[in-house]
Order: sequence, then structure tokens, then C-alpha cells
Amino acid sequence: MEIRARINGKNVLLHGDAMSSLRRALYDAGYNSVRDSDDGEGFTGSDTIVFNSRLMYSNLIPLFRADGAEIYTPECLIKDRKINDVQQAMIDAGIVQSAYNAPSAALILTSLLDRKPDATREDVKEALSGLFVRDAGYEHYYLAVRLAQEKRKHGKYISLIAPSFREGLEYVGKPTGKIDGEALVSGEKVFVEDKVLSGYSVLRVLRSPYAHAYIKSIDSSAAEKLEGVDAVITCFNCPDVYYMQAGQGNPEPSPHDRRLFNRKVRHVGDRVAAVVADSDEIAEKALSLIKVEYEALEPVFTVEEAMADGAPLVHNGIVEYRSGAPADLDEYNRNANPLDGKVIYQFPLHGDIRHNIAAGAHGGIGDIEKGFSEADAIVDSTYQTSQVQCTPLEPHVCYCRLENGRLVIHASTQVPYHVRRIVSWVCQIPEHKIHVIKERVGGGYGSKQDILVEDLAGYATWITGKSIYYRNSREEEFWANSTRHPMRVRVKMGGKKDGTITAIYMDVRANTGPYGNHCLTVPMNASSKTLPIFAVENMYYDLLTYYTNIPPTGAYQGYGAPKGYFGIISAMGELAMKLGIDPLMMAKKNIVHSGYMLEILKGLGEGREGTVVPVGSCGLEEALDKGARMIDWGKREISEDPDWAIGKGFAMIQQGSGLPGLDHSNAQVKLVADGTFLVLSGGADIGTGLDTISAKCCAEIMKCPLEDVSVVSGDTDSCLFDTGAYASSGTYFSGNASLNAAKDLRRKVIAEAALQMGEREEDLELVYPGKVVSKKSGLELSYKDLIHTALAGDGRGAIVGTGCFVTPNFAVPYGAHFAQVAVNRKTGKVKVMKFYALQDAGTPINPELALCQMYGAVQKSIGHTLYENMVLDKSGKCINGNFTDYGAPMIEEAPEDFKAVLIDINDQYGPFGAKSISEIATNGAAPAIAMAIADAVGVWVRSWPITPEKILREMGKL
Amino acid sequence: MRELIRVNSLEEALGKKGAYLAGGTEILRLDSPLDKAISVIDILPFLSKEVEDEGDWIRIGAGCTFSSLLSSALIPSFLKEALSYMSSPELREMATIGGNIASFRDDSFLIPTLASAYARLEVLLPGGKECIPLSSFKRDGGIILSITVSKTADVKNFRESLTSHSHAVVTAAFSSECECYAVKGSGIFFDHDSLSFASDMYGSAEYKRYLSELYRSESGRS
Repeated sequence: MEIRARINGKNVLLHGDAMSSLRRALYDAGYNSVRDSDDGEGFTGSDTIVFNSRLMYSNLIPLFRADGAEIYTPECLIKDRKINDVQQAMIDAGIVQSAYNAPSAALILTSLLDRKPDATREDVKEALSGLFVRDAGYEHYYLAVRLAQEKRKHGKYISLIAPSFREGLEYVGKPTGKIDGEALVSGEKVFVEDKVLSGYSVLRVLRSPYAHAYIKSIDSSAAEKLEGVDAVITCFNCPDVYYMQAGQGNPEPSPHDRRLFNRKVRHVGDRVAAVVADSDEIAEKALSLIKVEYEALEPVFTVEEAMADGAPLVHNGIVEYRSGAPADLDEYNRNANPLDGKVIYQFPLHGDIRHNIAAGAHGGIGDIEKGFSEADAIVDSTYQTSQVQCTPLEPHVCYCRLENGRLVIHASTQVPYHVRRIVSWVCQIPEHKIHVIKERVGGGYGSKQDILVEDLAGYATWITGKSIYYRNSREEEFWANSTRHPMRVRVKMGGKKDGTITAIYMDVRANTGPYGNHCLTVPMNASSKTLPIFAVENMYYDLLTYYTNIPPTGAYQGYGAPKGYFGIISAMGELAMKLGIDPLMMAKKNIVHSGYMLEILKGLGEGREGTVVPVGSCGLEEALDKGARMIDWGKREISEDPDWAIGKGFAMIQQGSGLPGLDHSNAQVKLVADGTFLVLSGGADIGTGLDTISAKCCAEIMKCPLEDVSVVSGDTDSCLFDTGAYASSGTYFSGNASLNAAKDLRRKVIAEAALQMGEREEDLELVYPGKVVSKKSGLELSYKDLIHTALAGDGRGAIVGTGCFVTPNFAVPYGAHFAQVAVNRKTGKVKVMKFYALQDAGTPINPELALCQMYGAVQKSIGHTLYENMVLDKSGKCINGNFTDYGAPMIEEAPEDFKAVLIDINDQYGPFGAKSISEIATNGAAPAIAMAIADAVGVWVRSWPITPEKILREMGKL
Repeated sequence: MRELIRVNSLEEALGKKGAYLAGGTEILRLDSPLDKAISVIDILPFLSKEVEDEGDWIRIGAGCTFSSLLSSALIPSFLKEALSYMSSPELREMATIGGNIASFRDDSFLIPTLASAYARLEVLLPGGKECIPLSSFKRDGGIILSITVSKTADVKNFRESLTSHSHAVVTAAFSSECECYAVKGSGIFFDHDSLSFASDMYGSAEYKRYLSELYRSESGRS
């Protein structure tokens, strides 16, 4: 049908079925800021519009109801290509990050201020209560509204946006706003879906209803005959190439244990077949015509089931090693079942698939038994974490097409170069035949470190020649996306009455699910990012990761550290309680300080021997002291309502900044023809502001305005190699590469200027805003004149700086998180009253973005701690594959008093002293809240999520 | 794609086969309980959106949205409390009181509160209009035209959900003469004796029973 509506003040005809969603029609009509994050669940608010003067979700409005309606989309906020004051305030406040629904937020807040110019914090909270924000948290949304109000009232901002760092620098350490902020908040066509040209084919996947089964046969003949079907891909016609989907450095510390399609399905939702077709309807019909005969097998879902004697084997195929094969491998493979395929280790990970073990590790320092024998008290507790989902607002999506005989992949990815490599393996074509364009990423959080859709869509395009658009449904995100590995973390800790910890033992049993993505490294993090924060002489860990038939696991912000911290800090709290001492005193007595030699790291490499290094810059003690003062540690708070008990807890935390010795970044900075700059960064900005960091590095070194710098990043044709945005590597590795490239350009510019000016290089310096000045003669040469001469017919050519960054040095961020909670003694309900996150991020290059990443990470972590959980039924099917049932936290769940604080530490190795910021912030909430609950009501809940029912049960009320 | 059936009156709608479409937040949402093959009949244009003061009672048109009721001075505070259980303002702009009752969900935002406020429904049936107590209403039991509730009832509301947007585990409301429970996984109960509980992903039967008994105790009924 065709309907007439007035949209953003203009009469517009919209087309579609009467019952199709208004959102779809609006998007198709070019209003692409109206996005879909929830398939019409009415949860995330990415589809919010003003409909007849009311804010509504356009996914839930059938098209026919829009006939004659007055509609405003976020595009209405742009006047003469300028964003409005609310949008500007959002950028300035730092909340425009991955920004998939930032335009909707701008529309909501603009509407609020139109109705209530003096909107209060409560008004803002109410207005945003239907908007799901995963990246930046909600706290600076309040600030953004306040900034807009101040600008309207006073003509300028009054409130402090973020603290500034490093007085001598122009942009680094200052809240300047993101260089891509305007594009994102205004709803420009910057995401993968916006790049899709008409005439594309669709790709749909038939997924397994079984958690564990062999595919005996597939009859796809009827589907193949269907008009409009171009290809049906199954385990019987896909390439016989084993790989893994984790985007890790090559060779990966994960086994190659899957093909595009396997003879054995290993989880409900596993790929069985894929159809390339002209339309969704044809693809759906084709899927329904595919006949599959399964041989169902008994599944295993938990670590306990997987490790049991005689447990069904998730992988029982041929094991191969690219290097380091054991001598008895032939014997080991004697009874392998070829239907199970292969498991190919790039190097030994101490796996044993005949016992469902994907990987293992162990190691330690000192004498653990001696340590326990010296203790006055010992706790030995087991902590269980759950399977949780990254839930990026933009699901996994890609658009693939052929151009000039090459495969072009528009990807929403954290690892464009790993995408190129893995797709080249699957398609069996050289990497130069593949061009990966990382578009803006509408939320990654680790899940887009894994190549979950590009492998299949890329292959399908390569064999059919069709342009293919693929997008996971929200349910598929739960069934077939990567998630946090559930872990069982046993911690045995001994301590003396004076607070000295004498020994720590960690036994980590991780559940990697059907495939071994990150099967060593995520669980390894549970120890490698926790034990090194303790200056304890006797520490040991054992780690085993098990294959099971739960939905796939993989990377999630924080990696294994949030789980390790939940165990180790909770154990420390329990030990302090047992000894009758203050856990904060115990923490301070046992933490590392700058210069402490981290012997424990020797056994904590990523599958190889680690390097022993001293603790570098470290703001840990300052964070603990400051946080304790802020929350009034030691003071017992009494609720006016006797039903509520109040308690306090904390956690000290650390993470890393990339993987020294493994990660590798490159960048170039070009001086373009008018004297401005183009940075080509291999780094993948996933909304965190990495491009802004690259631009700031350039502007600082080249002494030019930030506006004179543009950044292209994550484009495998234009930019040089980078291992990608994971393991908190962005600022440290990619940022340092940009910094090195800028320094190289500075050297070349001075060399060229010396020749043009007839001066000695040592007499020249760069001077803001963009010129070379002789300290000796006072002569000046603008960059514009310099490059014009260099590029003239008799010039010496283009001037390009190139930078690479690899390092053996660690830049470890530290922090302390403090929580104050109220627990209802009757219902078990928990309210997070206060949460103070204090972190040493070195020099925060973008301080406003850094604060928001802390807020966002803590909010995610609060979600994991109290609410979020993937629930599987007996068959292994995830039965809560939507935001509502899954328990995604909204603004109501944010702490009432929420503060992020940056501890001022200047790191020795980071760019301008910077370290990483966001991953570490996921580590503190679980242990801090668990300790606070114990402080309030006297019981420890040792499993995620800490629900009211579990609390009541521990309290003996159930 | 669902088929849309347009009608010229509610009486005509009664003669059609399909699901009635009011605000759309229930049957058009992801995970709608409605089979996608079922057609929908647009009845919203014919539903009253008025709130009328009838002394100690108020009559609420079935087409009133949650947000319009929250901004109405006639709506008593206990009902506003229940209306605000729907956390999203965007949904509240769309969801109607009639649609919410008709969906008869086991995590109903409103039914326990309305029932405890002695709500009576005016329902259009093939035989004509009928006025019935809310407790007598069954899903698919005609088209709800209006809801009449006591303004003066002393209603106490209780609700437990994991997050602000999660489905409620137990919702309950009590007044001097009525009590009503919506128990996730079990249904809606208009008296204590008929309560039953089942374990599901929202909580164990034991937990739900505990909450129901706690609420009853807190309301002063036991």
C-alpha cells in the first residue's frame, strides 16, 4: 500500500505492506537514523520517532497507521547540515560512542527539552527509560542535558565535562569531542546496512534444532530448484577447510576445529545449511524445503557433565598439530571418528578432546603448601559465572560484493585484517583478492572480534558472484554469537591475622561450548589478570577448558578477568571476614607497587612462556585510598526503612594494554596537498574514540589544529596491518603506531623544509598552527607551501610518515571499584546505591570518552552480576533470546550515585603516557557488589547472577 | 506478513475472524503470542479514549493509553502506580488499557490492581453489550469497551521483577474485599486459595509462593 505522511515537515509517500513496520518504510525512504536493534521487541529505542507529537517505537507501528500522520525522525534535528545543541552536547559529554541509537537519544532528549526546558535528573531518567544504552552508560546523558540547558541559558557550558590532563599538550588529555561524533549523532550512513545497494541477494541459515547430532543426510534438491535460489551450501559441498572464528593473532592460541559447515552439529543453532536467494521470502521457503536427517547424540552442557567419566565427546575427530605434535599422536587418533572432523592445534594447548578438554594450563610461584601451612585461616570456595551476551545494538552484519574480480566485505568488525585472513582461508583465495572495509561499528564489546558471519557471507559471494547482505536476527545473536565462557572458579586462599595473604590457589574450569574460540586465552585471563595484582609469594593456578554443547562462547569485554576477579576478590573478602579483619586493609597489605617483579607472569603467557617484568606505572593504592574516602569506608550505614540493609564492598582490579610480544600495529600519516593531514590507521575504531586518538597524536606532533586531521582506519586496502581492537590494545598499540607515524612525518617534514628553506634541520621546529619555523633565522614555511613545492614537477615527492608499534613492555591499568548496596531483607531485592569506579588509565587521551567507557563497562558488569543470564532448556536451546527475558539493564538499574574517577598517572610506554581504559572497568562490579551484599545481610552468593531468589535462599528464607 | 482487516464498526469486527488490534504493543511485538498467520482487525479507531468521573467510580475507555491515564487527574494513585510498571514511555504512549486486559498475561501490569479496585468491564459480545466483573473475563471474551473502577478502594500493589523491564515474577494487589495475583508461568488468580506455582526461568515455584505469601502478609490479609 501507499500512504501519505508528513515527515520532518514535508509531505512524503511511503510504500509497503499495510502490516509492515513503519520503521522499515522510513528506513527505505532514506530516514536511515531510524534503526532496528531488537526486531520489534520494543526495548532498545533505536527505532524511536515522534508520531503525532508522541515518542513511539516505529517498529511497533504498522504502516497503515501512519497514513496522514505527522512524523519526526532524528533527521529533523539537522538544520543546514548543522547538528542541534543537544546533539552537540551529547558529543561533548562523550556519550556518542558506538552510537547506533544515538540519533534516537538525541530526538528523545530534544523532545524532552522542548517540553521541559528545565528538565531535572528525574525527568531525564524517565525520558530515557525506554532506551537501551550498552556502550557509554547513562551517567553522562544527564550531563549532556545539563550542558544543553546551560548553553541555552548562559550561552556556554558551566559544568565540567571531564578533567584535563597534561598542561603542555593542546589536545591530548583534553575533552575535545570525537572526530566522528557529528556523523554518528546525526545518523549519517556510516553503518554496514547503509552501504547496501539495491539488487542484493539475501543469505539465510538453517540452524540445528539439536545440541549434538550427526548430519546423516541433507536433501536440498527442492530448495535448489526453487526460482530465485542461487545456492545452497551444506557440509557436503563447502570447502574442506578447518579454521576457527576467533580473530586472534596468527598462529592462534585456539584450535582450528570447525569448517563452514560440519557433519556434526554441536549446539542448538549451529549451521546446517545456508541459502542464497533473491529475497527473504524465497530464502525462507527454500530453508523449509531442505530435508535433513540427523542422528541425535547425548549432549553435555556443563563443565561437570563434560568432565564426567564416559561423557559424550563433543569433538572426537582427528587431532593434528601445526607444530609441537606429541609422539603418540597416531595412537591418540586411532579411534577417532572421521564424522567429527578435525581439531588442529597451531601449537600445543594441552588439550585432550577424548576427555572434552579443549585446552589446559597450570603454573605458579613459591611453595603453595608451605603458604597454606603458615596461614591462620583458609577459605576454599567455588564461584560460578554464567553465560552472558554482548548484546551490541547493531547485530552481526555484513555486506559482501565482487568488484573487479575481488571480494569486497563491508564489515562491522573489531579485526578487519583477521577477517581478511580467515575469509581468504575459507575461500582459498589470496588475501590481495579481498578488501575489508570496517564500517562504523554499532557495538562490539568483544563479540565482533570473532568472524561469525563474514566467513559464510564472503564465501557465498565468492562462489555465486552475488552481492549478499547478511544480518543476524536478535534471536540468532543469542543462539549463534559469541558469549562469555561460563566458568567455575575455585579459590583457596590462606592468610594471617595481620592481613598477610600467605597463599592463593585458583582452579579455573571453563566452558568453551561447541568450538574452541579463545578456549585458552579467556580462561587464562581469569588468572593472568588477577594473580599479578597480588604481591603474594605463593600462588598457583590450574586451568582446564571443556568443550560442551551450549551456544558458542568467545571474547567479551574484560575477557576472563571479570570471572577471575569475582572469585579471587570474593575469596579475599571471605577470608578477611573469617579472620575478623578489614578486607580493605588486607587488600592494601597485599597489592603490588611500581617496581615489584611479577614472577607470576612467567607461567601466564598466551600459550607460550610469559615474560617476567616489573610493575610499571601504578595508581592502585591511590585508587583504593581515594575510593575508600569517597564511600566513607568503615562507616556502617543504616537505612531508615528497617526492611533494607546497607552494605559496602570493593574490588581492586587490573587488566592489560594489548598483548606485548604478540600485537602489532601500523599507521601512516600523509601530508596532503593543502598542508592538512590524513592518518591511515590499521586500528579499528569500534566507537571508543581510537580515530580521535590517532588524530590527536598527529595534531600534537605536527602542531596543527585538530580540524586539519582526518582519519581513515580499518580499511585493509588503504591502511597497513593491525592485529585489531581487542585485549585493550587500541590506545596502546594502534595509538602508538599513529604517534610513531606522526613522528616519522615530523622528521621528514623538517628534512624537506631544511632543503626548501636552506636551513639546517636542527635549527627548525614545528610551530602551531601548522608551519616550520627556523629558530635561527626566524624564517617560516607553511605546511601548505612546503607540500606544494614537494609535489611540484621538480619536487621530491609525497611526504608520508610511517609508524609501526611492537613492544615487550606492559602498560597495565589499575583501579579500584567501590559499591554500596541496599538489600531488602524480605524480598532479596538489591539496589546499587553508590558505585565509584576509580581507574589509572595513564594519560586519558580522550578523558570524556574514557569516563563514559568506564560508566558503560560498569553498567554491563552490574548486568552480569545481578540480572543477565542466558537460560537453556533441557535440549540446549536458549529460551530467553530477547532483551526483556535476558535481563538487559536499563537506566533504572544504573547506580543512584555513580562516579567515574581518573587517577592521574603518566605511563612510561603508552602514547603520551596513556594506558587502556574500558576492559578493566568490567572487572570490579561483581566482586564489589557480592562483598557489599555480604556486608549488608551476612551471606555470600557465589554465582552469577546474584538474584533476589539466590539471596533469599542463602539467607535461609527459601 | 499478517493480513489487516479493516472494519467500519466494532459490531462488524465481532463478525470477523482474527485478533483485535488496539495499541499493538502486545500482538505486534517480537515474541507475540499470536500466530503470524492470524489476521488482525483494527479496532482502535472505535475505542473510547475518554475517562469519565462517575462519583466514587471512574469509567475508562478501553482505548486510553497508559500515558494518557498517567496524566489524567481522575486516575487514582494506586492505578497510576500499576500503570507505571510499564517502564518504557514509548510503550506507554501506545499500549491501551483495554488491550492490556485483553491479553490477560500472567505478568499483567494492571489486572491485579484493577481487580482489587472492583473493576467491571463493559464488553461487546455478539449478543450485545454486557457488564461483567473483571474476574469473569476470559481471553477472547469479546471486545472490551470500558473499565469501571472504584476511585476510593484502598488498594495495595506489589510487584517483583528482576529489572525494570523484566516480566514480573509475581504481581499482586489487595483491597479490603479483593485480592488478585498474576503469577508468571501459572496465570491470574482472583483468590488466594486457587493459587498455583510453577518453576521456570523467572524463578522457582517456591520463590513465587514465598513472594505471594509475603505480599499477602504485608497487605495485612493474613
